Amino acid sequence: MALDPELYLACRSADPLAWRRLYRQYAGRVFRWAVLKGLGPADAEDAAQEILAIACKRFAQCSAAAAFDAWLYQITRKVVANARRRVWWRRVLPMEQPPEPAFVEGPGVEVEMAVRACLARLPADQAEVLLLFDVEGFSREEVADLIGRPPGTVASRLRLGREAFRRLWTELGPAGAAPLAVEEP
Amino acid sequence: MSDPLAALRDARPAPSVEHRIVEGAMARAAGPQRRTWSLALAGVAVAAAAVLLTFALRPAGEPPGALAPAVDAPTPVVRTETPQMRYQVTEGADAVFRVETPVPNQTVVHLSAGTASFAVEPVPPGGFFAVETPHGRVEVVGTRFSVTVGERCTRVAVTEGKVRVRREADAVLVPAGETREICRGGPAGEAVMRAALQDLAGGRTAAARARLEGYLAAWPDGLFAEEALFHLALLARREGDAQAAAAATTRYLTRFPSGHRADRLRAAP
Repeated sequence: MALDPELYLACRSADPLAWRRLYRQYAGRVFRWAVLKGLGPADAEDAAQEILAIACKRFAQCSAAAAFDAWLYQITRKVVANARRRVWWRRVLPMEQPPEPAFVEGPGVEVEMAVRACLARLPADQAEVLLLFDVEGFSREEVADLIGRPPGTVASRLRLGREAFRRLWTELGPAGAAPLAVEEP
Repeated sequence: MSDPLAALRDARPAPSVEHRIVEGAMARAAGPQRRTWSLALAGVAVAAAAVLLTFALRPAGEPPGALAPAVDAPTPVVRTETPQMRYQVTEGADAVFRVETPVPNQTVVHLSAGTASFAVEPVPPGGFFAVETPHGRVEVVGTRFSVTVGERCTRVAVTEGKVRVRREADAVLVPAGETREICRGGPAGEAVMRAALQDLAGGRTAAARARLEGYLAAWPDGLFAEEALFHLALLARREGDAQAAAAATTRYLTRFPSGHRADRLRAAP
């Protein structure tokens, strides 16, 4: 779901009602990106606030409504990377909480937790391509643009990522889960 | 589960989490950016240096906290020029105001009655110049404007540049040549506008039109008058009523010839 051009123009004029509409439209999506990129629900909520606030402050850098999603994802990458560094430091303290579910709408707690566990064990570049291609539904070319890599690299990461995900799913997926049947790009 | 990844495509957090994200982002976007502790320490050091410099440069006998002009100054024109900010206040005969400068690049004029005019150089990054009245706040982007406080409303007239007029969480930019009012009934007007926008989003066009016209009748110079006229014009176009669309567009352009949506209305077929 791309950004409505009318809403884009209203946000460019610093209309606060427009920004609130944009935030409502993207809050869930940005939160999902942050969770599937490895943050817990509390950190993802904080990161989502930061991502959307940064988007507002730097909106002049976004060239068009059609480019907004990709531009927002670039902000997400940076903010989540910073947040993960902070989370990593926290892990040296004996205070780590058990993982908790992040979504109330979706495939259910068991599948969500299993997917997150599998993605967390994949190499980050493969997990990112799976997130963008299989979860978010971007095309191979769009993913290439988003991560700044050639489409061939995207296809390679996608193939490797899916193979690894399949193996992990067999090991970590919910009991009784059927073998995966995903299509090649 | 053949494709657990695709199953997460529509995964969403609880509505309360989404609400907190929206409100948190609004607050962060409106306020200063959060800093890491090291940057905060650097900021404290810079602020301390600025305070020391301020005290060192103050003429003998001037009381602390008097960097800004005096309260209810008897002279008609107040000028301030610091390395951080330059502005000029011309007070009307009935103006009652005081100036606060909590830090050198931030100035707040509290105007409780009467009229005062302002000329402000572009505000430096991180700073602001604002006029607080009993009805709301006018934030300066770098401009000439006047503010009149009445019993029920505050009227802002912009001569040059633009200002941001704010009431609580809502704000609009007012360009040169235009006026806006912030009234005690503001929140009621905002509620009408919000309901109208919800009606528009939900396709309830008749209800939306009634609310927009109702808003304009009740608050003709209100904070959202421009937005109401703009949406009336769009609504008429969406419904394919060329005559009504032309009339609504003319109404908008007559009232807000340099409004920030004027070009969009002129450009649209």
